[in-house]
Amino acid sequence: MSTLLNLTDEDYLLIEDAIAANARGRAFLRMRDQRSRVVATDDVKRLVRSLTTSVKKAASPENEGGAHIRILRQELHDMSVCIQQTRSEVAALRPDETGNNRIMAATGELDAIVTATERATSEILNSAERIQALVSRMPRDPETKTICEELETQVTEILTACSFQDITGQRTTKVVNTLHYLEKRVNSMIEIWGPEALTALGAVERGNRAWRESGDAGHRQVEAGRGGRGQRRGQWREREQRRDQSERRRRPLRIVPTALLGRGVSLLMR
Amino acid sequence: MTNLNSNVLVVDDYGTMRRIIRNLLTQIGFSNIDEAPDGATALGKLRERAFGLVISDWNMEPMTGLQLLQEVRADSKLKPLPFIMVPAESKTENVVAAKAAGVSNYITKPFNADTLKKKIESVLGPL
Repeated sequence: MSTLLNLTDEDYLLIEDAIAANARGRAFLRMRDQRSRVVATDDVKRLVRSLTTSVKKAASPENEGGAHIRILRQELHDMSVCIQQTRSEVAALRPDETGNNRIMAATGELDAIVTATERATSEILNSAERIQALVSRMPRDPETKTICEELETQVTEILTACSFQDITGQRTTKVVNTLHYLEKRVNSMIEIWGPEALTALGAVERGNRAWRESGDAGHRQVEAGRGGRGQRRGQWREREQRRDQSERRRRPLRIVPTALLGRGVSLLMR
Repeated sequence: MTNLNSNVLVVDDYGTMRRIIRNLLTQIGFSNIDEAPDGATALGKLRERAFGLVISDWNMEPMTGLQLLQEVRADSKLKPLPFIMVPAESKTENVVAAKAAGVSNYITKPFNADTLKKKIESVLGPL
């Protein structure tokens, strides 16, 4: 079998120039270029089809990679639900102050907490300053001098203790900012996956989970008693942690190829 | 002008904190006390009239206490102004950054009147 002849670049250019020397030669070269482009396009289409098939296979529920994606989607959905649940519970803790427009106007429930503590602190300071003013008007004879000084000292202690409101407010603001940051990131990821797909998947998984746990749920309730909201949340968290641990032991989480291919490929999976 | 007659500027975004510090300063003996809710307002007041002392919070927005300090030290007229930082947390890196920016002293909240008085005396001298 004869080996294929390879041309140098110089030889190729010389032959190309020779063919292009007349009109028929130039027509031949144009037709050759068009046919080459068609072949290249066909090759790309074949590659894309092959890639699509591979991606769909990787994302299918039967495939281990597909299960990872389902787990990721489920985690995103659960995080979003948890954030919404926290918002609702914090809103439920709001005191019934129907005449207080300042609290109602505050943006966010945690911001409202800061406002409420600031108002309470201000009232404490008002009273402390009134006491200071009264003490300053008291006559300083030997009998009352010591008492007046002690009163002034105690009022000062009240004032400095009220600085808790500033520290509380700064810490609450940090928590609020962190929640906003997490919520923004989770919503961005949900937007990529598609909220409808996550909601449907969440409903399926909740059903599966309830079915799995229905066997021992009644027994656990009898043991724990009908606890408060905090106790039920603690039990829910324990179940989630046990589920996470068993999932991780069976399938360690790996970076799935589709996560690296960007939005365009992920759209092919829908 | 004695130290107690100095104009003091209290900068904090929480109104109750400004009120507490003002009250403590009054007890110490200061009578000329002004307030600013943020760094930009504080900078404006500092450039309008002469102050003898600035007491500023750290966590403020949009201009933090550190940025206010840097602006003050960058201004040739304000550069020598005594500046006490009053943050809510005592992070080492914050202390280092404040010292590098030229802070006069540093008090972590919460503090009492005695602590405030001692810190002010360390900057202005005996009151």
